[in-house]
This record gives sequence, C-alpha cells and structure tokens, in this order.
Amino acid sequence: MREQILAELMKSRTRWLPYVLLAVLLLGAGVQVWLFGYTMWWSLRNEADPQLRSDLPELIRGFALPWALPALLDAGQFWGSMIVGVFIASGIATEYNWGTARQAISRGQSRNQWLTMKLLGLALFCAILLLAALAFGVVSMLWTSSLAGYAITLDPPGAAHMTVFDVAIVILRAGFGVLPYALLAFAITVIGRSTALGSTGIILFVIIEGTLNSIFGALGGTWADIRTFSIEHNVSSLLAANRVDDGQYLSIAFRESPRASELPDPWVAFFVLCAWCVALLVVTYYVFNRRDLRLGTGE
Amino acid sequence: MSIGATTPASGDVVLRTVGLTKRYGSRLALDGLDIEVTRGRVYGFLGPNGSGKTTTIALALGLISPTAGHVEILGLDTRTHRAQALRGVGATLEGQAYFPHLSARDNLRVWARIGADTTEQRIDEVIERVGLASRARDKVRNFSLGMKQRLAVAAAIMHEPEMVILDEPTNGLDPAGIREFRELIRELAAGGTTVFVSSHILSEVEQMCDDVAILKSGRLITQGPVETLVGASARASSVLLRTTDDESAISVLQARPGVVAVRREDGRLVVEAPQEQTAAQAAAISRALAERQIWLTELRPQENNLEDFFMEITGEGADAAAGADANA
Repeated sequence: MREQILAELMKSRTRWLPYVLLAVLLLGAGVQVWLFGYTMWWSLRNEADPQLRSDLPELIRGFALPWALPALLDAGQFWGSMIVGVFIASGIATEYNWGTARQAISRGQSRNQWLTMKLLGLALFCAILLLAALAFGVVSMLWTSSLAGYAITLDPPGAAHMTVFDVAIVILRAGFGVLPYALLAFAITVIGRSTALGSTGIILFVIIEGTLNSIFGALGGTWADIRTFSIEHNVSSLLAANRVDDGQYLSIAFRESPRASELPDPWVAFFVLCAWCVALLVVTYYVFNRRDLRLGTGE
Repeated sequence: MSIGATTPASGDVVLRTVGLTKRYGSRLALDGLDIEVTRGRVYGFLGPNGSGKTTTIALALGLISPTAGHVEILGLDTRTHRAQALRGVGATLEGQAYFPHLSARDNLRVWARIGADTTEQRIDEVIERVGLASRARDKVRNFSLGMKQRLAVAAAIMHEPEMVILDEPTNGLDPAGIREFRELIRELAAGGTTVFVSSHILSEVEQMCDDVAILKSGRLITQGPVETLVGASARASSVLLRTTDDESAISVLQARPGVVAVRREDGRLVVEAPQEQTAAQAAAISRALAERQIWLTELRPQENNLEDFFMEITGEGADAAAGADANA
C-alpha cells in the first residue's frame, strides 16, 4: 500500500496543475490576510472619522490571531473545496484518458484498490497543498500582527483562551468541510470520466447550492428546513463552531459569515456530512465496479 | 465453419476461454468463444476490424465483464482469482497507456510500485532491451508512436510474466522496428514466455506465430498451428513466370491439362494449378514452352500463405491487403 501511494504521489508531484492551484491558494491566503486584513486596517488606522474608526476592530480580525485563523479557514474551506475538486477531477479523468486506469487494472490491481489508492494519494497531496497555504497564511498573520504592533497570542483580551489543541480542532473542522466536496468531485469524475465535467460540476454545485440555501433561508419555514440536508449548511455549522467570538469576520468566501444560532449542532452537522461522504463513496465504488473499461474508446 | 483446425494440446494451457460471450445492447460482440493458448507458443489472434479481438483481450484482462462464459489464465478462473491470475500476465493495450508527463524510466517505476515486483536493475534491463536506453530520461509526451509502443512492451515484460498479451503491438513501428519487435517476441518465446498477439498484419503474424486463431463477427472460425492451417488451404497454388513471348505462352499454357487459369499480373504470367501439382506443373511448363521456342526468363512457384488462407475463410480482403502493404 505504501508503494502504491508513493506511486500516486509521484504521478501528482510531477504535474504542473497542483502548482498552479497552490499558487491560487497562496494568493487567496495573501489576499485574505494582507489585503482584507492588514492593508485595510492600515489605511484606516489614523482615520479621524469615528464612523470609519468603528470598523477597526473588525479589520483587526482579518490578520490578528486568534480571530484571523477561523476567517482564513472559512475562506480556505470555500475556495479550497473547489480547488481540491478541480485537482481530483483532473487526477482521475486523466488516468481514464491516458489509458493508465485500465492498464493498472489489467496488471492485477483490483478496481477497489485502484480507486482507493487514487483517493488516498490525491487526498494526501491535497492536504499538503492546503496545509502549505495555511502555513503561508499563518506566517502572514504573524508578520502583519508584528507590523501592526499587536501581541501575537492565542489568549487575546475579550475572547476565550485557545490552546494548541483547540487550534488543531479548528483546522480539522475546516478540513472536514472540504471532504464532502472532494468526494463529490471524485464521484462526478469517476462516473462522468471527464475533467471538465468534474471541475465544472463541483464549482457549479458550490455556487448553486449556496444560492439555493440563501433563497430557502429567505423563504423561511419548511423551505429553510431543506437546508438541513445540504452540504454547505452543515459545513457552515462546523465553521461557526470555529469562531472565537460573535463579532463580524472578514472572509473572502462568497457566503455570509456563519452564525451558530441559525445552524445545526456541530455534531449533527458532522454526522450529516459523514452520511454524505459514505453515500458518495458507495455510489462511486458501485459504478466503477460495474463499469466496462472498453479499449479504444478513450476510457 | 472449421478449416484444417487442430486443437492445441491441452496439457499446459495458459489461457483458455470457455463459451466467452459479450453483448453490447443488441450487438453480439463475441459469441461463445473457445480458445486455448499453450505454454511457450506464440499465438496469433487474427480477424477483421470489429471481429472481437480487442473485446476478447479486454475480457481476459478483466476490463469488461462477460455476458456469458469465462476466462482461465494460468489455470485460474478469472471470475474468482482475477488479480492473482493477472500478476502472471503482461499486456499492451490498444491506444495509449502511459503517463505523458513522466520519463520512460519513471513510467516503469510507477508500474513497478503498483504491482510488479521489479528492481531498478530490471527496469534498466527492459529499457535496454526495447531500445529506449538513450531516451530513458525523456518525457514520454515527446516520444514518437513507435517509441511509445516500445515503452508499452517494456512495461508488459518488466515483471517477467508467464504470458504476454499484445494488442496490435506493431502499430506505428517502422520496418526496422517491426523486425526488432519480431525478434523480441521470438526471444520471449524461446525463454518460455507465452505470447498472445492480436494483429491484422497477416505477413507479420505468419512470420512470428506458431499458432493462430481467426475470428469473424465475434465467432471463432478456426485455430491451430500456422503451417497446418496454411497447408490445408483449398486454394490453388500458382507458378509465376516471365517469358520472351507472353501471348504465345498464354495459348500454350491454357491448353495444358491441370492448369486452372492463366492471367497477367504485374508484368508476369500467373499459372494456377491444384496445390499438389505445382512442382510438376513448373517442370511441364518449362518443357512445353521450350518446345515452342518460348524462353523463360523467370519461373517461380508461389506458395500458399496465411493471407490467402485468411481471405479464403473470412472473405475479407481489405484488411489483409492493408496489412501486407503496411509491412512491405
């Protein structure tokens, strides 16, 4: 198994796509911390207008720990889900197109083994990309906090103390929020056998799901309850649990800042998302095991 | 229909299909195929386009599921022991099957990690053997079609399988490459590896295969040793000749007993006679023409070959001709 995962990593690390996607993630982290956080704070810090100065505490949350961490993870989960989806779609569909999927199976690898190794290899590589972007974001936070003269601490005045364990949980919650979208991209691509279908499918899903949830929320009543079954609504619950306090957060995710009072309990959300993951895996493995991998058809 | 077919000795069968059938919707791609490939032989799998060759290979490799029947590889039923059976097999498949962004050596390293129990030394050996040593570090996307075919063969043989399945392996190879490839196949067979090769290039198959099976419209028409099948052809043999006076020669030859037909072809006269009379006809023709003061400048018996046999039993010509041209 170790050798097979190493083979998957070897295939991924020599492609150019992950590095382009990493650049996008780093750019996103930079925009979140430097542009939305530090630069806006810096431009208003000496502002005489009290109305504008009232925004400063909110802006500080964009780059100063511990608030900036959930904000960055919120943005990372939103954009990261789509970026991971694109990478997974490409990783799977290209193996169909190159004929290497059927070559692997013709060499005695079982279909379940092939799918599992692809999934684990791609997941590991995606985790590395996301953690690299997170590390860049955290380093940026430390730097901007230092430039702004703020204390670098996980125990800020007016907010609950955070331990390193809390930080790990915060990161895991956001990471888990990426998983259902990654598995959805995986399912769409395995079934559709196309990078374009997998990539556009996951991006459209995120956009349409978010739009529908906003509409259902506005309609209220039973309509609003439908959101309970959506991935986004439950991911929002996990991200809301990450928040350090109830103040406004600046995030480059195209959705409202999640507020715990409007969302399901994080544990309920966790199990709903687990159900989504299991369902997507079952469908993917079932279809792939029953499918003919015909020669000479680009499969 | 079965012409001159003999069943291979079943003592050491490495690939057997039993009533193998595949249906795509209403189209029957393969209809109850029963073939046996014996150890150490080079087995040619012939048939016109769409006859079911690639479907058979895909079924044997577990890429598609049979509608009925099953495949046994190395004595193992692939319905229950697919992975175990396929570890003893190397295969090149129709179309591409490589990682274009990796070098030739890294492609083989990936396959080594995925399933083949292969050392770096063995990877170097197979790269050398298929003639890619000087390009081993180059990205495969920059390779010619022929080089990609060589890489596919390297991947197929790197784990020293008991049987190699090759689907149209010489597509894209130049004449020198085809010759080298033929030698490689003979070397593999000499080393005890069974080779199953699907091709539509009949002259190539005739030169490198011990046994052949011929498919048409998803059905096995015949299988057996090449020599036996070709020898059993009902087609008349021919004598090719050039003379100093073709017009007079035609009159003389048409009057001879045992001559089936005389025609002009590529500046020569072609005299057709029943196969068993070919040698006798050559001597008689020589004598009869000399008596009429018509002198021979060339006299050559033309033997039956696999292409003739194939065309005779399948009624196909285009594929065979194309194959012969490609190999010329």
